[in-house]
Amino acid sequence: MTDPAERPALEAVGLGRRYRRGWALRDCSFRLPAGRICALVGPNGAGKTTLLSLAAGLLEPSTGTVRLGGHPARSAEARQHTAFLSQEKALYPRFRVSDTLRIGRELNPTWHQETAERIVAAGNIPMDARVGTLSGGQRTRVAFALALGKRPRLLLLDEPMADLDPLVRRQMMDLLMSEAAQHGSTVVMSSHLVSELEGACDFLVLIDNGTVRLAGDVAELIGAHRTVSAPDAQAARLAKLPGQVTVETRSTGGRTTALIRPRGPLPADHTPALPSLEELLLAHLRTADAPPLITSTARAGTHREVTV
Amino acid sequence: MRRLRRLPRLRGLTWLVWRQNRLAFWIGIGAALAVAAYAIVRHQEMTTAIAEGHLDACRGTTVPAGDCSHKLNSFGQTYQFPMRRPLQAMLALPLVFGVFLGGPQLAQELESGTYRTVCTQSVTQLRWFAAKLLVPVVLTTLISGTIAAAMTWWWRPAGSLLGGWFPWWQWYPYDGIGPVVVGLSVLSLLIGVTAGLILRRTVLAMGATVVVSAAAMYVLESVRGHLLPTALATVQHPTGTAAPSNAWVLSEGAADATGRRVPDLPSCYTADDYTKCLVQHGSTGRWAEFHPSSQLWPLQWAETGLCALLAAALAGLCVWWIRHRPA
Repeated sequence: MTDPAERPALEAVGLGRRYRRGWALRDCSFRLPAGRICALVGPNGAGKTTLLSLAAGLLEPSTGTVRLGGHPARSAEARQHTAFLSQEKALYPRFRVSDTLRIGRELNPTWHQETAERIVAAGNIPMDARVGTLSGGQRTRVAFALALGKRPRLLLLDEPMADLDPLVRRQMMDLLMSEAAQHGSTVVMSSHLVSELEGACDFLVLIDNGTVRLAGDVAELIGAHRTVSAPDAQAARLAKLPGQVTVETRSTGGRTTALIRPRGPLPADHTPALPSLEELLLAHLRTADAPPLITSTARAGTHREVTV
Repeated sequence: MRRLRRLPRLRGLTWLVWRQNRLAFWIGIGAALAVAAYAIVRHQEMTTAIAEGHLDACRGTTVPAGDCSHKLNSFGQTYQFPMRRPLQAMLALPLVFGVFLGGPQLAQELESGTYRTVCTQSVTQLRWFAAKLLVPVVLTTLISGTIAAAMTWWWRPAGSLLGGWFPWWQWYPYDGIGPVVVGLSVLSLLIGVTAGLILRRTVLAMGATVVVSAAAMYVLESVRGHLLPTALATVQHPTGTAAPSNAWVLSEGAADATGRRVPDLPSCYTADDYTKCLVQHGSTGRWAEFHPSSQLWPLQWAETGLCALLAAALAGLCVWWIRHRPA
């Protein structure tokens, strides 16, 4: 646990945050190994922004702790190596692009001006343009330059692509992936769109109603589930397959499909298939009482175990 | 640009806060220098007029008749009248700092979310707050201090020459000169910053700053006479005042031969000989509680200290708010 690369990039233990309206995030525990690209998925108001704000040190937790690379979220070490891009990507509209990058240079000891300038230049944005006169996509690019110029070990992005057209979205995603790969950064990206993240992310945290429902390596999570289907007449059997955890059953076009977590050998007549990421997420979002699944790689405070 | 290069280069948060407010700062610095230049000219004119008219001989005259009275009157017409409006306008100066510099300072960041961008660089929220507070406080002190010094320089020859004819303790010139201008400006700035932090809306914070700062100035105006102990004087003549010329009299009344305070005698107003009536009823003297004119600067410093204390309390409130209710 002494090598920074071995420490989890992000580890939440019993993390909770309460607002006047009630709990936005409750008893949230998971760990994100370093070097992963993590999708933080959940419906609107699920607590994604609260979780990211806690990790970014903008909020203080009501309960529990969150540590980044082994350091408490609000410590100087954690701040120095973490970049955060808020949903609104708020920059000062009257600042020139060069002034905006200077914010990064003045306030971060790890600042890398060439990285930031390269990202801005790749979007053909003049350095002396005022941020307020830029288009939405250009502004996002400047915000990315400010975040990536810090060369963070952990990059927290809150709905980074929400207001971008598909072309710019693709550009930003490519930029992000190449920068993250180049510096071995860990990325956490929140979204309520699954399609946006599929293919880019290898780690997943599903959060709903302020609690973590799924957390773990994407392949591991998918591998832990099967879809089985049968004619509606046999639906009752699917709902309680012996020894399995049934997440959800749905009936469409005369057949009932169930998403299950196999705990042992399945009956031979059901031809189980692996679910897609989207199927997996939607099934869990539709069924609020499905038991949460935190895989061993994502379990907080534990070392790697073999069992799922 | 060469002049700028010789200035120490601003770094870190200091640079950021300067950059954010630089238009306001340059306007303030420019206005302060203009007022200073104007005041120097007017001061020069006045001292010249006093020397040429040999008005020094009239200093301290209180008799409203004679050659001196005429001379002082005409001096007042020429030099004191044009000074009155600017001195009255100085009452608004603290509000300008509070509303335009203090109110938006945090409210705008909280409203637009830009604080999230800054506070997730390698700086803590408290360090950011310290810079957002200290840079404007320093600039407010410099700008209001320059303006206050200029107004004091302008007022001084007229104030000392005219004495009780242009009393120092009235709201003008009192609120327009001396350290109290700086104290009120910094206090108003802090009221604006605090309002912005708590209300989180720029326009709302600016409005609240006007109301709260005006109320604070009203309260300070009513307590300022009691910030330092008053002098007490008793004289044995039945009419007039016991206080020296150009003193700020807080209360006065009739006294008997032993100096004991006695109630006024309204029945004597209708007597043929008012003075004789008073003496007959034992009201032979007068007493007064007052601040002599030498108390102007001690009183100003006391009020400035009170402002600084209130401003520090507000800064403490802001720190507490940020710690316990982080945005």
